[in-house]
Amino acid sequence: MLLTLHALEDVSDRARYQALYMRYRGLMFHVANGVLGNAHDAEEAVQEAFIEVFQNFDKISEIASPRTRSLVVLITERRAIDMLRAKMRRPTDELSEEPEGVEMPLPEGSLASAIARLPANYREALLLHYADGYSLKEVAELMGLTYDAARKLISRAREKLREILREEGDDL
Amino acid sequence: MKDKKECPFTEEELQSAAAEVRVTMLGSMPRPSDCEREFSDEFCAKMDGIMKAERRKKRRELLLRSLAAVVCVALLLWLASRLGAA
Repeated sequence: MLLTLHALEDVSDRARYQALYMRYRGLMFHVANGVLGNAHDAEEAVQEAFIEVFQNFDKISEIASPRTRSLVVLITERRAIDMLRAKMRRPTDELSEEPEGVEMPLPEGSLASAIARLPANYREALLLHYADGYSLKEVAELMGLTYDAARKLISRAREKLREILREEGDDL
Repeated sequence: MKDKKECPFTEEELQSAAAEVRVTMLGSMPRPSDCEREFSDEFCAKMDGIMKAERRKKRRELLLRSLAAVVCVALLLWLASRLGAA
């Protein structure tokens, strides 16, 4: 019976993996290409992002949902930025600027615009936790961190937000 | 609830701002159906391999967990029968 259950689970899993892959691969490529500006590298980043998404498949309840869409975008953005950083370390490449993630047009001076201005890993942790409702443990698993590292990351992100808001307050 | 160190925002404000950022982020992107792309054969073949490998890994984990549960139940039944006999 165990084997039958496994076989049934395998069929349903295969369909869900395939559905997620078919639905989001284009969007993930769009995100990765926006960061990397190179189709070949973007395809590689998409593959790495998919591995990470599949490893966290149990956290995805509904495939066609804003929560899942946000998750795949954030994971792809991070993988693409990691790849860009790795390239920047190579002396032969002519990249000089700090990598940036997805651009978000938000009104200046608001808390939301301050979040959008955060470094990508801080922003990802805050969005996963506060917008998508993932627990600290889940954020840690999704970002490949220990629980303590995820807690510190969110604490630093909040500190950075305070700094940004303070700077913006001084500028006004 | 404000932070001890004069935090300029509350948890609720942070949640609401993060939700606003998420909506803006997703709104600034094309819908999944609008960014379909012809992927290279190499990409599709690699993705097939990745999906198979990940499913195999999950299946193995599930099987191990099920076996562990069966062993635990068998052990408990055996202990219970020994205690009953004694």
